[in-house]
Amino acid sequence: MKTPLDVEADPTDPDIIDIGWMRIVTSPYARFFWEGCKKHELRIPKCNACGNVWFYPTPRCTKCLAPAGDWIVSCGDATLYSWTAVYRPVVEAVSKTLPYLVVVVEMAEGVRMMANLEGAKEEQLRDGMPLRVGFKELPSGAVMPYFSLAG
Amino acid sequence: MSSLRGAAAITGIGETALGHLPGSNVMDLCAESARLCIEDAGIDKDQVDGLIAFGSRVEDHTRFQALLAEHLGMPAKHYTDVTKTGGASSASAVRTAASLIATGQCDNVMIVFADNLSSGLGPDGIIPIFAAHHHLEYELPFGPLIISLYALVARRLMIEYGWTPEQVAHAAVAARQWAALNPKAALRDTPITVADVMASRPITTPLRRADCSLISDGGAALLVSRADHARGGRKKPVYLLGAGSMFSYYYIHNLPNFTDYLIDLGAESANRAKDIARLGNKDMDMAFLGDPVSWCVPANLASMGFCNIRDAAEFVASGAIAPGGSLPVNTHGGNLACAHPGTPGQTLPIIEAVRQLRGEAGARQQKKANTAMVHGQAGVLTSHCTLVLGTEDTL
Repeated sequence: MKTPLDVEADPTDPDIIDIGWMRIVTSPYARFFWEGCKKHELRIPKCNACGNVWFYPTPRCTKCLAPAGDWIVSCGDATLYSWTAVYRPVVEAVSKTLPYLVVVVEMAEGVRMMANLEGAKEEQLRDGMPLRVGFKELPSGAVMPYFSLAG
Repeated sequence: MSSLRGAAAITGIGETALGHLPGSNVMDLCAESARLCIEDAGIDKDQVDGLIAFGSRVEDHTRFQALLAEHLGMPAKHYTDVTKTGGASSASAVRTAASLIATGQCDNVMIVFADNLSSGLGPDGIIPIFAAHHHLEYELPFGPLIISLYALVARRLMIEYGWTPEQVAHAAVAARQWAALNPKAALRDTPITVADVMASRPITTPLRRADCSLISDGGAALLVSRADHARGGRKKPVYLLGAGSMFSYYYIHNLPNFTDYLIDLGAESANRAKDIARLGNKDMDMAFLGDPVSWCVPANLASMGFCNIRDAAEFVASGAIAPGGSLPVNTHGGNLACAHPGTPGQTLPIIEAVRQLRGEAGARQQKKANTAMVHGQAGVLTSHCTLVLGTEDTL
Protein backbone atom coordinates (compact mmCIF):
# COMPACT_ATOMS: atom_id res chain seq x y z
CA MET A 1 0.00 0.00 0.00
CA LYS A 2 1.32 3.47 -0.96
CA THR A 3 1.78 5.87 1.89
CA PRO A 4 2.48 9.60 1.84
CA LEU A 5 6.07 8.63 2.57
CA ASP A 6 6.31 7.16 -0.93
CA VAL A 7 5.98 10.53 -2.73
CA GLU A 8 8.80 10.86 -5.27
CA ALA A 9 11.13 13.84 -5.23
CA ASP A 10 10.56 16.27 -8.11
CA PRO A 11 12.95 19.24 -8.07
CA THR A 12 10.92 20.94 -10.83
CA ASP A 13 7.72 20.98 -8.76
CA PRO A 14 7.69 23.96 -6.38
CA ASP A 15 4.97 22.31 -4.29
CA ILE A 16 7.11 19.26 -3.41
CA ILE A 17 9.62 19.92 -0.65
CA ASP A 18 12.29 17.23 -0.37
CA ILE A 19 13.41 16.84 3.24
CA GLY A 20 15.40 13.67 2.55
CA TRP A 21 13.44 10.93 4.30
CA MET A 22 10.08 12.22 3.04
CA ARG A 23 8.59 14.74 0.65
CA ILE A 24 6.19 17.39 1.87
CA VAL A 25 3.48 18.04 -0.71
CA THR A 26 2.50 21.58 0.12
CA SER A 27 -1.04 22.82 -0.20
CA PRO A 28 -1.54 25.61 -2.75
CA TYR A 29 -3.15 27.77 -0.06
CA ALA A 30 -0.12 27.26 2.20
CA ARG A 31 2.58 28.39 -0.24
CA PHE A 32 3.09 31.56 1.78
CA PHE A 33 4.20 29.52 4.78
CA TRP A 34 6.89 27.61 2.91
CA GLU A 35 7.99 30.67 0.91
CA GLY A 36 8.31 32.41 4.28
CA CYS A 37 10.63 29.69 5.56
CA LYS A 38 12.95 30.34 2.61
CA LYS A 39 13.14 33.97 3.74
CA HIS A 40 13.59 32.86 7.37
CA GLU A 41 10.18 34.20 8.29
CA LEU A 42 7.69 32.13 10.28
CA ARG A 43 4.41 33.22 8.72
CA ILE A 44 1.17 32.67 10.61
CA PRO A 45 -2.24 32.91 8.92
CA LYS A 46 -4.23 36.02 9.81
CA CYS A 47 -7.70 36.85 8.55
CA ASN A 48 -8.06 40.33 7.12
CA ALA A 49 -11.83 40.14 7.52
CA CYS A 50 -12.11 39.28 11.22
CA GLY A 51 -8.57 39.51 12.60
CA ASN A 52 -8.37 35.82 13.57
CA VAL A 53 -4.84 34.46 13.91
CA TRP A 54 -4.59 30.68 13.66
CA PHE A 55 -2.34 27.78 12.78
CA TYR A 56 -1.97 25.65 10.59
CA PRO A 57 -2.78 27.26 7.22
CA THR A 58 -6.23 26.32 5.90
CA PRO A 59 -8.08 27.52 2.79
CA ARG A 60 -10.54 29.53 4.89
CA CYS A 61 -10.39 31.48 8.14
CA THR A 62 -11.33 28.99 10.86
CA LYS A 63 -13.41 31.67 12.62
CA CYS A 64 -15.40 33.60 9.99
CA LEU A 65 -14.76 31.25 7.02
CA ALA A 66 -13.58 34.10 4.78
CA PRO A 67 -11.03 33.05 2.14
CA ALA A 68 -7.59 32.88 3.77
CA GLY A 69 -4.25 33.90 2.31
CA ASP A 70 -2.96 36.76 4.45
CA TRP A 71 -0.43 36.31 7.18
CA ILE A 72 1.67 37.98 9.84
CA VAL A 73 5.36 37.31 10.42
CA SER A 74 5.98 35.84 13.84
CA CYS A 75 8.45 37.59 16.10
CA GLY A 76 10.04 34.14 16.48
CA ASP A 77 9.67 33.87 20.26
CA ALA A 78 7.93 30.83 21.70
CA THR A 79 7.59 28.85 24.91
CA LEU A 80 7.75 25.10 25.39
CA TYR A 81 4.32 23.51 25.94
CA SER A 82 5.06 19.78 25.62
CA TRP A 83 7.78 17.45 24.41
CA THR A 84 8.69 13.84 23.68
CA ALA A 85 12.01 12.23 22.83
CA VAL A 86 11.48 9.75 19.98
CA TYR A 87 13.71 6.66 20.18
CA ARG A 88 11.99 4.61 17.48
CA PRO A 89 11.89 6.57 14.21
CA VAL A 90 8.61 6.73 12.34
CA VAL A 91 10.41 5.07 9.43
CA GLU A 92 13.97 3.76 9.39
CA ALA A 93 14.90 6.41 6.86
CA VAL A 94 14.30 9.36 9.22
CA SER A 95 17.50 11.32 8.92
CA LYS A 96 17.55 12.54 12.50
CA THR A 97 19.89 11.47 15.27
CA LEU A 98 18.08 9.30 17.82
CA PRO A 99 16.52 10.27 20.08
CA TYR A 100 15.10 13.39 18.48
CA LEU A 101 12.88 15.87 20.28
CA VAL A 102 9.36 16.49 19.00
CA VAL A 103 7.88 19.50 20.76
CA VAL A 104 4.72 21.56 20.82
CA VAL A 105 5.46 25.24 21.21
CA GLU A 106 3.31 28.27 21.90
CA MET A 107 4.26 31.18 19.68
CA ALA A 108 4.19 34.68 21.16
CA GLU A 109 1.33 35.38 18.74
CA GLY A 110 -0.81 32.82 20.62
CA VAL A 111 -0.84 29.84 18.24
CA ARG A 112 0.64 26.41 18.87
CA MET A 113 2.75 24.38 16.48
CA MET A 114 4.71 21.15 16.38
CA ALA A 115 8.41 21.18 15.54
CA ASN A 116 11.75 19.68 16.42
CA LEU A 117 13.81 21.16 19.24
CA GLU A 118 17.48 21.11 18.33
CA GLY A 119 20.66 21.57 20.34
CA ALA A 120 19.10 20.45 23.62
CA LYS A 121 18.72 17.24 25.60
CA GLU A 122 15.46 16.04 27.12
CA GLU A 123 16.90 16.37 30.65
CA GLN A 124 17.28 20.14 30.16
CA LEU A 125 13.65 20.75 29.26
CA ARG A 126 11.19 22.52 31.56
CA ASP A 127 7.58 23.58 31.10
CA GLY A 128 7.33 27.06 29.62
CA MET A 129 11.01 27.44 28.71
CA PRO A 130 11.64 30.29 26.26
CA LEU A 131 12.48 29.10 22.75
CA ARG A 132 13.49 30.77 19.54
CA VAL A 133 12.64 29.76 15.99
CA GLY A 134 15.45 29.07 13.53
CA PHE A 135 15.60 27.91 9.92
CA LYS A 136 17.73 25.16 8.51
CA GLU A 137 18.68 24.65 4.85
CA LEU A 138 18.65 20.98 3.83
CA PRO A 139 20.84 19.42 1.09
CA SER A 140 17.88 19.61 -1.32
CA GLY A 141 17.66 23.38 -0.78
CA ALA A 142 14.45 23.03 1.26
CA VAL A 143 14.25 25.25 4.34
CA MET A 144 12.62 23.91 7.50
CA PRO A 145 11.77 25.73 10.71
CA TYR A 146 13.07 24.38 14.04
CA PHE A 147 13.33 25.64 17.59
CA SER A 148 16.20 25.96 20.03
CA LEU A 149 16.53 27.15 23.63
CA ALA A 150 16.48 30.96 23.76
CA GLY A 151 19.48 32.89 24.96
CA MET B 1 -33.36 10.79 24.29
CA SER B 2 -34.64 8.62 27.13
CA SER B 3 -36.35 6.37 24.57
CA LEU B 4 -32.92 4.87 23.93
CA ARG B 5 -32.85 3.27 27.39
CA GLY B 6 -33.58 -0.42 27.01
CA ALA B 7 -34.87 -0.10 23.43
CA ALA B 8 -32.21 -2.40 22.03
CA ALA B 9 -30.02 -5.21 23.24
CA ILE B 10 -26.84 -6.91 22.13
CA THR B 11 -28.05 -10.38 21.21
CA GLY B 12 -25.02 -11.80 19.43
CA ILE B 13 -21.25 -11.58 19.64
CA GLY B 14 -18.59 -13.00 17.35
CA GLU B 15 -14.86 -12.87 17.96
CA THR B 16 -12.40 -14.58 15.61
CA ALA B 17 -9.03 -15.96 16.59
CA LEU B 18 -6.84 -13.04 17.67
CA GLY B 19 -3.12 -12.43 17.34
CA HIS B 20 -0.78 -12.97 14.40
CA LEU B 21 -2.79 -14.89 11.80
CA PRO B 22 -0.59 -15.46 8.74
CA GLY B 23 -2.56 -15.76 5.51
CA SER B 24 -5.63 -14.04 6.95
CA ASN B 25 -7.48 -11.46 4.92
CA VAL B 26 -9.96 -8.81 5.89
CA MET B 27 -13.10 -10.19 4.24
CA ASP B 28 -12.40 -13.65 5.66
CA LEU B 29 -12.05 -12.22 9.18
CA CYS B 30 -15.25 -10.20 8.67
CA ALA B 31 -17.12 -13.28 7.47
CA GLU B 32 -15.85 -15.44 10.32
CA SER B 33 -16.82 -12.88 12.97
CA ALA B 34 -20.26 -12.47 11.32
CA ARG B 35 -20.74 -16.27 11.18
CA LEU B 36 -19.87 -16.62 14.87
CA CYS B 37 -22.16 -13.72 15.76
CA ILE B 38 -25.16 -15.12 13.86
CA GLU B 39 -24.57 -18.54 15.43
CA ASP B 40 -24.33 -16.98 18.88
CA ALA B 41 -27.56 -15.01 18.39
CA GLY B 42 -29.33 -18.02 16.94
CA ILE B 43 -31.02 -16.08 14.15
CA ASP B 44 -31.17 -16.47 10.39
CA LYS B 45 -28.87 -14.03 8.62
CA ASP B 46 -31.81 -12.91 6.44
CA GLN B 47 -33.22 -11.31 9.58
CA VAL B 48 -30.31 -8.84 9.66
CA ASP B 49 -31.67 -5.62 8.16
CA GLY B 50 -28.84 -3.22 9.03
CA LEU B 51 -25.07 -3.46 8.64
CA ILE B 52 -22.41 -1.13 10.02
CA ALA B 53 -18.77 -1.66 9.06
CA PHE B 54 -15.54 0.24 9.54
CA GLY B 55 -13.53 -0.64 6.47
CA SER B 56 -9.91 -1.66 6.71
CA ARG B 57 -6.47 -0.15 6.98
CA VAL B 58 -5.16 -3.00 4.84
CA GLU B 59 -7.84 -3.59 2.17
CA ASP B 60 -10.21 -0.63 2.15
CA HIS B 61 -12.83 -0.04 -0.53
CA THR B 62 -15.25 2.69 -1.51
CA ARG B 63 -18.62 1.56 -0.10
CA PHE B 64 -16.87 -1.10 1.94
CA GLN B 65 -20.17 -1.89 3.66
CA ALA B 66 -21.86 -2.87 0.38
CA LEU B 67 -18.93 -5.08 -0.61
CA LEU B 68 -19.02 -6.66 2.84
CA ALA B 69 -22.77 -7.29 2.55
CA GLU B 70 -22.10 -9.03 -0.76
CA HIS B 71 -19.42 -11.25 0.80
CA LEU B 72 -21.74 -12.04 3.69
CA GLY B 73 -24.65 -12.89 1.39
CA MET B 74 -26.70 -10.22 3.13
CA PRO B 75 -27.78 -7.93 0.31
CA ALA B 76 -31.16 -6.75 1.62
CA LYS B 77 -30.96 -4.16 4.34
CA HIS B 78 -32.63 -0.93 5.37
CA TYR B 79 -29.40 0.62 6.57
CA THR B 80 -25.70 0.29 5.79
CA ASP B 81 -22.83 2.62 6.52
CA VAL B 82 -19.25 2.79 7.61
CA THR B 83 -18.35 4.61 10.79
CA LYS B 84 -15.07 6.48 10.82
CA THR B 85 -14.55 7.68 14.34
CA GLY B 86 -11.41 5.61 14.93
CA GLY B 87 -11.39 3.85 18.28
CA ALA B 88 -14.78 5.35 19.15
CA SER B 89 -16.31 3.60 16.12
CA SER B 90 -17.41 0.41 17.86
CA ALA B 91 -19.34 2.13 20.63
CA SER B 92 -20.62 4.67 18.13
CA ALA B 93 -21.91 1.87 15.87
CA VAL B 94 -23.79 0.31 18.80
CA ARG B 95 -25.34 3.68 19.57
CA THR B 96 -26.31 4.16 15.89
CA ALA B 97 -27.76 0.64 15.74
CA ALA B 98 -29.82 1.23 18.88
CA SER B 99 -31.03 4.59 17.56
CA LEU B 100 -32.17 2.96 14.30
CA ILE B 101 -33.99 0.31 16.31
CA ALA B 102 -35.51 2.79 18.76
CA THR B 103 -36.94 4.79 15.85
CA GLY B 104 -38.36 1.72 14.15
CA GLN B 105 -36.06 1.73 11.12
CA CYS B 106 -34.35 -1.61 11.72
CA ASP B 107 -34.90 -4.73 13.81
CA ASN B 108 -31.46 -6.38 13.76
CA VAL B 109 -28.31 -4.39 13.02
CA MET B 110 -25.03 -6.21 12.63
CA ILE B 111 -21.73 -4.47 13.31
CA VAL B 112 -18.67 -6.07 11.70
CA PHE B 113 -15.15 -4.81 12.22
CA ALA B 114 -12.03 -6.77 11.22
CA ASP B 115 -8.50 -6.08 10.14
CA ASN B 116 -5.17 -7.85 9.85
CA LEU B 117 -2.65 -5.23 10.82
CA SER B 118 -0.12 -7.80 11.99
CA SER B 119 0.04 -10.28 9.11
CA GLY B 120 -1.25 -7.85 6.48
CA LEU B 121 1.21 -5.07 7.19
CA GLY B 122 3.43 -5.73 10.21
CA PRO B 123 4.94 -2.98 12.38
CA ASP B 124 7.14 -1.64 9.57
CA GLY B 125 4.10 -1.43 7.29
CA ILE B 126 1.52 -0.13 9.69
CA ILE B 127 3.60 2.58 11.34
CA PRO B 128 4.07 4.60 8.11
CA ILE B 129 0.34 4.21 7.34
CA PHE B 130 -0.59 5.41 10.79
CA ALA B 131 1.92 8.22 10.30
CA ALA B 132 -0.43 9.53 7.62
CA HIS B 133 -2.85 10.39 10.43
CA HIS B 134 -0.48 13.22 11.21
CA HIS B 135 -0.68 16.46 9.33
CA LEU B 136 1.59 15.84 6.36
CA GLU B 137 2.92 19.40 6.32
CA TYR B 138 2.91 20.53 9.96
CA GLU B 139 3.41 17.33 11.97
CA LEU B 140 4.87 14.37 10.08
CA PRO B 141 8.02 16.15 8.83
CA PHE B 142 9.10 16.43 12.47
CA GLY B 143 8.98 12.66 12.85
CA PRO B 144 6.34 11.93 15.52
CA LEU B 145 4.98 8.41 15.92
CA ILE B 146 1.21 8.25 16.19
CA ILE B 147 1.70 7.49 19.88
CA SER B 148 3.99 10.50 20.23
CA LEU B 149 0.75 12.48 20.40
CA TYR B 150 -0.25 10.45 23.46
CA ALA B 151 3.25 11.11 24.81
CA LEU B 152 2.74 14.87 24.41
CA VAL B 153 -0.53 14.60 26.33
CA ALA B 154 1.15 12.40 28.96
CA ARG B 155 3.83 15.06 29.46
CA ARG B 156 1.20 17.71 30.25
CA LEU B 157 -0.54 15.34 32.67
CA MET B 158 2.81 14.89 34.44
CA ILE B 159 3.39 18.65 34.54
CA GLU B 160 -0.09 19.73 35.61
CA TYR B 161 -1.32 16.79 37.70
CA GLY B 162 1.86 15.04 38.82
CA TRP B 163 1.09 11.71 37.16
CA THR B 164 4.23 9.58 37.11
CA PRO B 165 5.27 6.88 34.61
CA GLU B 166 5.62 4.47 37.57
CA GLN B 167 2.00 5.02 38.61
CA VAL B 168 0.72 4.62 35.07
CA ALA B 169 2.83 1.47 34.58
CA HIS B 170 0.36 -0.26 36.91
CA ALA B 171 -2.19 -0.08 34.06
CA ALA B 172 0.08 -2.20 31.86
CA VAL B 173 0.71 -4.60 34.75
CA ALA B 174 -3.04 -4.97 35.44
CA ALA B 175 -3.72 -5.64 31.75
CA ARG B 176 -1.25 -8.57 31.86
CA GLN B 177 -2.87 -9.89 35.02
CA TRP B 178 -6.26 -9.94 33.31
CA ALA B 179 -4.73 -11.40 30.16
CA ALA B 180 -3.42 -14.32 32.21
CA LEU B 181 -7.07 -15.31 32.73
CA ASN B 182 -7.99 -15.08 29.02
CA PRO B 183 -6.87 -18.03 26.85
CA LYS B 184 -7.17 -15.80 23.72
CA ALA B 185 -4.96 -12.99 25.04
CA ALA B 186 -1.62 -12.63 23.26
CA LEU B 187 0.34 -11.85 26.43
CA ARG B 188 -1.40 -14.35 28.73
CA ASP B 189 1.87 -16.10 29.62
CA THR B 190 4.11 -13.09 30.18
CA PRO B 191 3.34 -11.39 33.49
CA ILE B 192 5.22 -8.16 34.14
CA THR B 193 5.98 -5.90 37.06
CA VAL B 194 6.16 -2.12 37.29
CA ALA B 195 9.95 -2.51 37.30
CA ASP B 196 9.71 -4.44 34.01
CA VAL B 197 7.65 -1.66 32.45
CA MET B 198 10.15 0.96 33.62
CA ALA B 199 13.04 -1.17 32.27
CA SER B 200 11.46 -1.68 28.84
CA ARG B 201 13.01 0.42 26.10
CA PRO B 202 11.84 4.01 25.62
CA ILE B 203 9.79 4.53 22.44
CA THR B 204 8.59 8.13 22.66
CA THR B 205 9.10 9.48 26.17
CA PRO B 206 7.51 9.07 28.64
CA LEU B 207 6.10 6.01 26.83
CA ARG B 208 8.09 2.78 26.99
CA ARG B 209 7.56 -0.41 25.03
CA ALA B 210 5.43 -1.99 27.75
CA ASP B 211 3.18 1.10 27.82
CA CYS B 212 2.24 0.47 24.18
CA SER B 213 -0.41 -1.83 22.76
CA LEU B 214 -0.04 -4.85 20.53
CA ILE B 215 -0.37 -4.98 16.74
CA SER B 216 -2.73 -7.86 15.91
CA ASP B 217 -5.10 -9.48 13.46
CA GLY B 218 -8.70 -10.20 14.32
CA GLY B 219 -12.36 -9.63 13.69
CA ALA B 220 -15.29 -8.82 15.93
CA ALA B 221 -19.01 -8.65 15.29
CA LEU B 222 -22.04 -7.61 17.33
CA LEU B 223 -25.73 -8.02 16.69
CA VAL B 224 -27.99 -5.32 18.10
CA SER B 225 -31.69 -6.23 18.16
CA ARG B 226 -35.07 -4.86 19.20
CA ALA B 227 -35.41 -5.44 22.93
CA ASP B 228 -38.84 -7.09 22.61
CA HIS B 229 -37.43 -9.58 20.08
CA ALA B 230 -34.24 -10.08 22.09
CA ARG B 231 -36.07 -11.70 24.99
CA GLY B 232 -36.87 -14.78 22.93
CA GLY B 233 -33.27 -15.13 21.70
CA ARG B 234 -30.75 -17.87 22.26
CA LYS B 235 -28.62 -15.94 24.74
CA LYS B 236 -29.35 -13.63 27.64
CA PRO B 237 -29.79 -10.16 26.10
CA VAL B 238 -27.49 -7.38 27.21
CA TYR B 239 -29.40 -4.11 27.05
CA LEU B 240 -28.12 -0.73 25.99
CA LEU B 241 -29.14 1.51 28.89
CA GLY B 242 -27.47 4.69 27.75
CA ALA B 243 -25.08 6.17 25.20
CA GLY B 244 -23.29 9.46 24.72
CA SER B 245 -20.50 10.90 22.64
CA MET B 246 -18.29 13.93 22.12
CA PHE B 247 -16.20 14.61 19.05
CA SER B 248 -13.70 17.40 18.71
CA TYR B 249 -10.57 18.52 16.82
CA TYR B 250 -8.43 16.36 14.53
CA TYR B 251 -4.92 17.81 14.92
CA ILE B 252 -3.39 18.93 18.16
CA HIS B 253 -2.74 22.55 17.13
CA ASN B 254 -6.13 23.94 18.07
CA LEU B 255 -6.84 22.02 21.26
CA PRO B 256 -7.34 24.55 24.07
CA ASN B 257 -5.07 22.38 26.24
CA PHE B 258 -3.84 18.79 26.44
CA THR B 259 -5.34 17.98 29.85
CA ASP B 260 -8.67 19.25 31.23
CA TYR B 261 -10.14 19.92 27.80
CA LEU B 262 -9.59 16.32 26.66
CA ILE B 263 -10.69 14.70 29.92
CA ASP B 264 -13.79 16.92 30.00
CA LEU B 265 -14.74 15.91 26.45
CA GLY B 266 -14.74 12.30 27.56
CA ALA B 267 -16.66 13.22 30.69
CA GLU B 268 -19.38 14.89 28.67
CA SER B 269 -19.72 11.71 26.61
CA ALA B 270 -19.83 9.51 29.72
CA ASN B 271 -22.23 11.82 31.58
CA ARG B 272 -24.74 11.71 28.73
CA ALA B 273 -24.60 7.93 28.74
CA LYS B 274 -25.03 7.78 32.54
CA ASP B 275 -27.91 10.29 32.45
CA ILE B 276 -29.84 8.27 29.88
CA ALA B 277 -29.12 5.07 31.82
CA ARG B 278 -30.19 6.81 35.06
CA LEU B 279 -27.15 5.21 36.71
CA GLY B 280 -24.07 6.60 38.41
CA ASN B 281 -20.51 5.34 38.75
CA LYS B 282 -21.28 3.54 42.00
CA ASP B 283 -23.83 1.48 40.05
CA MET B 284 -21.24 0.20 37.57
CA ASP B 285 -19.89 -3.28 38.22
CA MET B 286 -17.01 -2.94 35.75
CA ALA B 287 -15.43 -0.68 33.16
CA PHE B 288 -14.09 -1.21 29.66
CA LEU B 289 -12.06 1.32 27.71
CA GLY B 290 -9.67 1.84 24.84
CA ASP B 291 -6.04 1.42 25.92
CA PRO B 292 -3.78 1.92 22.89
CA VAL B 293 -1.23 3.15 25.46
CA SER B 294 -1.25 2.68 29.23
CA TRP B 295 -1.81 6.40 29.82
CA CYS B 296 -5.27 6.11 28.26
CA VAL B 297 -6.40 3.96 31.19
CA PRO B 298 -6.26 6.65 33.91
CA ALA B 299 -7.28 9.33 31.39
CA ASN B 300 -10.41 7.44 30.33
CA LEU B 301 -11.24 6.40 33.90
CA ALA B 302 -11.18 10.10 34.84
CA SER B 303 -13.47 10.91 31.90
CA MET B 304 -15.81 8.07 32.86
CA GLY B 305 -16.07 9.50 36.39
CA PHE B 306 -14.48 6.68 38.38
CA CYS B 307 -11.81 9.08 39.68
CA ASN B 308 -10.90 12.69 39.08
CA ILE B 309 -8.07 13.86 36.87
CA ARG B 310 -5.91 14.69 39.89
CA ASP B 311 -6.17 11.20 41.42
CA ALA B 312 -6.43 9.09 38.26
CA ALA B 313 -2.83 7.83 38.14
CA GLU B 314 -2.89 7.07 41.87
CA PHE B 315 -6.23 5.24 41.41
CA VAL B 316 -4.60 3.00 38.79
CA ALA B 317 -1.51 2.49 40.98
CA SER B 318 -3.69 1.49 43.95
CA GLY B 319 -4.50 -1.84 42.31
CA ALA B 320 -8.20 -0.93 42.02
CA ILE B 321 -8.37 -2.01 38.36
CA ALA B 322 -6.45 -5.29 38.63
CA PRO B 323 -8.03 -8.70 39.34
CA GLY B 324 -9.45 -8.57 42.88
CA GLY B 325 -9.65 -4.77 42.83
CA SER B 326 -12.72 -2.61 43.43
CA LEU B 327 -13.28 -1.82 39.73
CA PRO B 328 -12.51 -4.55 37.19
CA VAL B 329 -11.24 -2.84 34.02
CA ASN B 330 -10.78 -4.54 30.62
CA THR B 331 -11.08 -8.05 32.02
CA HIS B 332 -10.00 -9.51 28.63
CA GLY B 333 -6.59 -7.83 28.80
CA GLY B 334 -7.30 -4.83 26.56
CA ASN B 335 -5.28 -3.54 23.63
CA LEU B 336 -2.24 -3.70 25.90
CA ALA B 337 -2.27 -7.44 26.54
CA CYS B 338 -5.10 -9.18 24.62
CA ALA B 339 -5.11 -7.82 21.06
CA HIS B 340 -5.14 -4.63 19.01
CA PRO B 341 -6.24 -5.40 15.46
CA GLY B 342 -6.96 -1.69 14.81
CA THR B 343 -10.56 -0.56 14.96
CA PRO B 344 -11.89 -4.01 16.04
CA GLY B 345 -9.61 -3.52 19.02
CA GLN B 346 -12.32 -1.41 20.61
CA THR B 347 -15.07 -3.87 19.69
CA LEU B 348 -13.33 -6.49 21.84
CA PRO B 349 -14.09 -4.62 25.11
CA ILE B 350 -17.80 -4.50 24.16
CA ILE B 351 -17.76 -8.24 23.47
CA GLU B 352 -16.04 -8.87 26.80
CA ALA B 353 -18.63 -6.72 28.60
CA VAL B 354 -21.38 -8.83 27.01
CA ARG B 355 -19.61 -12.04 28.09
CA GLN B 356 -19.35 -10.75 31.64
CA LEU B 357 -22.99 -9.68 31.76
CA ARG B 358 -24.08 -13.05 30.38
CA GLY B 359 -21.85 -14.93 32.83
CA GLU B 360 -19.68 -16.43 30.06
CA ALA B 361 -16.28 -14.95 30.98
CA GLY B 362 -14.67 -18.14 32.26
CA ALA B 363 -11.84 -17.77 34.77
CA ARG B 364 -12.23 -13.99 34.79
CA GLN B 365 -16.00 -13.98 35.35
CA GLN B 366 -17.01 -11.39 37.94
CA LYS B 367 -19.61 -12.39 40.52
CA LYS B 368 -21.27 -8.99 40.42
CA ALA B 369 -21.89 -8.49 36.71
CA ASN B 370 -25.10 -6.63 36.02
CA THR B 371 -23.79 -3.35 34.64
CA ALA B 372 -20.79 -2.20 32.64
CA MET B 373 -19.62 1.10 31.22
CA VAL B 374 -17.72 0.95 27.93
CA HIS B 375 -15.77 3.98 26.76
CA GLY B 376 -14.47 4.12 23.20
CA GLN B 377 -11.81 6.72 22.58
CA ALA B 378 -9.90 7.85 19.53
CA GLY B 379 -7.75 10.57 18.06
CA VAL B 380 -5.69 11.09 21.21
CA LEU B 381 -8.69 11.62 23.48
CA THR B 382 -10.49 13.91 21.01
CA SER B 383 -13.25 11.45 20.01
CA HIS B 384 -15.31 9.67 22.64
CA CYS B 385 -18.35 7.43 22.71
CA THR B 386 -19.65 5.82 25.90
CA LEU B 387 -22.13 2.99 26.39
CA VAL B 388 -23.84 1.79 29.54
CA LEU B 389 -24.84 -1.87 29.31
CA GLY B 390 -26.99 -3.88 31.69
CA THR B 391 -28.74 -7.17 32.22
CA GLU B 392 -32.53 -7.66 32.28
CA ASP B 393 -32.50 -6.86 36.04
CA THR B 394 -31.29 -3.32 35.38
CA LEU B 395 -34.14 -2.31 33.07
